[in-house]
Amino acid sequence: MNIKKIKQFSILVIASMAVLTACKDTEVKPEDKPQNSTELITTMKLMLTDSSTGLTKTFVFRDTDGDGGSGPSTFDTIKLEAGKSYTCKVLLLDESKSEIDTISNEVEEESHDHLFIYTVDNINVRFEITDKDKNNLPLGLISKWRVGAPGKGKVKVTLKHQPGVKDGSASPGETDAEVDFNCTIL
Amino acid sequence: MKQIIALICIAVAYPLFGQNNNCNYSIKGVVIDSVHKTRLGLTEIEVFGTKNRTESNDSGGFVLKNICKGRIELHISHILCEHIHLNLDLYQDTFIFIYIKHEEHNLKGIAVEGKAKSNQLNTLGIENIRKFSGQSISGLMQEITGISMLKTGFNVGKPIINGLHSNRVILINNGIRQEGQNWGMEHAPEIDAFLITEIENIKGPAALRYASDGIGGVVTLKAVDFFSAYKSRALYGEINTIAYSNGRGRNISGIIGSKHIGKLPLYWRLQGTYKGSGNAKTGSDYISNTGSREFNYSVGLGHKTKSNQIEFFFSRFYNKIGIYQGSQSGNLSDLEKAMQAQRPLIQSSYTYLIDRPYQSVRHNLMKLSDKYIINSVNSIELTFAIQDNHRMEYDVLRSASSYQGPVFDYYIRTYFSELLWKRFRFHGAELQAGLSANRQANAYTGRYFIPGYYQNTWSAFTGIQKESGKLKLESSIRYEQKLLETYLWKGNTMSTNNRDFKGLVYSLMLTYNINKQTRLSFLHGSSWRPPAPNELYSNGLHQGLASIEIGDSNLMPERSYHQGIEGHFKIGKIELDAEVYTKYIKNFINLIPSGTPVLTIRGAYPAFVYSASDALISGLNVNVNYRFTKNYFIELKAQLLNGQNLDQHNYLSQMPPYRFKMNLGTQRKKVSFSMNCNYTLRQFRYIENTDYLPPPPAYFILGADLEWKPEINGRQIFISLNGSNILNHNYRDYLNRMRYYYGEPGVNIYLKLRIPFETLIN
Repeated sequence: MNIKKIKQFSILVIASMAVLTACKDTEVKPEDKPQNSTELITTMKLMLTDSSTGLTKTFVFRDTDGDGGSGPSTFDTIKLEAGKSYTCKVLLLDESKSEIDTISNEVEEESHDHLFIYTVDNINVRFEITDKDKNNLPLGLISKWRVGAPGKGKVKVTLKHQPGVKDGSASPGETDAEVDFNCTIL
Repeated sequence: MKQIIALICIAVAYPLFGQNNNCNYSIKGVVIDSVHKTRLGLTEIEVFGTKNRTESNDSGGFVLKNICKGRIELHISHILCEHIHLNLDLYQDTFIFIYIKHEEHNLKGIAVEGKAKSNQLNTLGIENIRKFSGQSISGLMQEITGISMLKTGFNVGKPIINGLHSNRVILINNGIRQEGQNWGMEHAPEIDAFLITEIENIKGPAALRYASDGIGGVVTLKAVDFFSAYKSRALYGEINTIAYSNGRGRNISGIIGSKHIGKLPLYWRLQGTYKGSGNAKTGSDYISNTGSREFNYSVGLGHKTKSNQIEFFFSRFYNKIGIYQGSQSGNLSDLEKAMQAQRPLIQSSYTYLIDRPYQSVRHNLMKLSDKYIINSVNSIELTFAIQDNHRMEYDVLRSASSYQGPVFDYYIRTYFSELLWKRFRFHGAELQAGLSANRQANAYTGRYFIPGYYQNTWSAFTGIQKESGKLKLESSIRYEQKLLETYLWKGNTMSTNNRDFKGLVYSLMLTYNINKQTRLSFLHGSSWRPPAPNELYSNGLHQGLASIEIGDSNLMPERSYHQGIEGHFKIGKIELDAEVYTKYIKNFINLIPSGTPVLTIRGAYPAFVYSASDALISGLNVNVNYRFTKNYFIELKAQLLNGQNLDQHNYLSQMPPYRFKMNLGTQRKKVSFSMNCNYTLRQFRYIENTDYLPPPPAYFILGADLEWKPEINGRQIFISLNGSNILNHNYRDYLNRMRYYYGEPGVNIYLKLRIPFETLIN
């Protein structure tokens, strides 16, 4: 090795380093409004259609600033009538962005990775999932609710993300949404 | 302590001619730099205890006159070296050659950088770094007694020094303070372990040169210093390859460098590392998505003249680390289910591939420094550095149409400049003073965790060190001012917050060298740390821990008062290093349960708030080394500490449990073998019901290291076989944040090959 080579080499190295440091992949400033393109579920809407009358009532959980921050801005109590049956459709939204994103469309798109679970606490409602994914396993975006005697309790709606592990049971995967609604049967 | 290179001095005395007068003798001589084989000017030669002194000229020559007959002591000091003492029986005019090892390890030896010389307790030298090669940088640091590792899974670890971590531990990477996502517990220092040849846990006044907020500690990590290590016309290099069984990992790292003389004397060094591993296994199960990749390189260039030394350093670090899917998102009931499971919920087999979720970090560091020797007693050093840190986190995708990029993208850029002045031989003391300024910008896209901010810091520092007989006193003070300007967005409105902090810190250390074998140091000091942005403004979900963390924007700085006694004793074949310490921390900021759960769309989460209370941490670190025969040794290490919350009269959480290590081995010329064990007790000092699971039980793990150093074609190579957790014990560690989901790695066998080379070039 001679001096010339080393010199040339080092100049090359320094130049390439300078270039590397200079071209930062994105120039974001601390004061810039952060771009949040990530997905967030802020809102769960349950649209319950009375099978006998065809009337639809909507019950909402809404927390537009996501986890933490302020608590939910809307948290409805589900009101049902004794002895009736309802068709329930679930709508999941991301209302944190200026353009509202309908997450339930993505859930439907990837239905074989998702499962809704309906459970009750101290109240007389029976659930039946009526939609299926491509593998003929239950999905739960649509369900049938059969209401019993009057009372007060809770209805819990859980969305599980089960990529690659869905077997129709509640156990695998992680929880994407879980809202424990207060429920009154009149 | 490696960097305090003991100066080797060989003096050859030639009787010249006799004289009668008792105090009319002279000593003539030449000072020679034994490393570079050159004559050394600017060296002071003093008849110790008198004012009779002189300085060597450019060709190393000196003359000392009017010296009395009999035993005298010469004190030889050079600005770039440790000073040495030389005893002579003078009965004639004499001519001597003084060989001093002129290593100038970062101008070490000057001023306040001297510390208690208990190498075993505070330093990890090249031999041990090589022995543990293949570990992460935090894994290496953990080999220093008093340092533990806060882990997130298998591949992420950060140092805990005497119970403190993250923002309270400052890492100095090749002279520059490492600036990354330091607050994050799942953050690992972005430093290539293969580049580092020396790690030191700096205690006392010397640490204040670097920082005032190192309440836990300051650790310096250094690459080989080419100015002292490289001789002309030689090409230095080393290749390290490692293969290991658990995760089927592979590492390859190479370094090459040289000193070129001629018209443009240039030192250079190039280094690069690749590391990769797939899914790793605990004692019983493969853990899904636990592979990792790391790719780093660095360049060092240096130019040196007699009085000037310029250094350029650039390093780039990149990694990608898989995260166990079972630990991501989910809610409290998912966490409970995962904890109740005896085996990981996601079953897996081996794969080298990394899937979502994963995190990736890129870190660039560029440094330019100039050390200028003004005259025989003054030098200045100017340093500039830029660091860029970019961290990306990729979550699991819901569908092909989901957003593909990272959910959270953090950018931190830090500019640093420092001016340091060193004054040698100032009324028998060594002085050092410096000014530094630092500007940091933090920005993000994606999910909110902490706000964007600018942080401007400036500081002034001075230190003095004086040695008198058996006593040595060191002291430093540092003043720091910080302005933190944050930008908090809520919807479309932004609020700006300014906080400014000022603080003065100091440190004193008195060392008493009782004799060559015994040394005691007493340390007292204070540090100060303003609250970090996450402690002030975080408000969100910590996914892996299923908890909401809430900052408090009114927090005040922490202030710590440290007391310590460190001793070094050598009794026969036993060498003992011990340290006892207490740290009283006012306004210690920690996460405490808020008591009211926070409701989210995924259910209720327990909430933790950052709050300040007074804390006391006290502990004991001990190293004992017993070389019972020439070839056999036993080494014992103990690390004990207690942390108390003084306001609430209970324990501090996440404190390292008591740990004992033993290493029993034999060293021969060609082969060395050792067995090591690590016994870690259960942490019984914790507050019930503040953690999802109680601390795991005590564990005992065994390891073995075998090294063979054959010579091939006259060149020595190093082959080693190392085993960790060789009994394949299934255990969990309290300091691993993934302990709720899975245990520690099972048996791992490493095969390492190291080929150093040194070739003459023309």
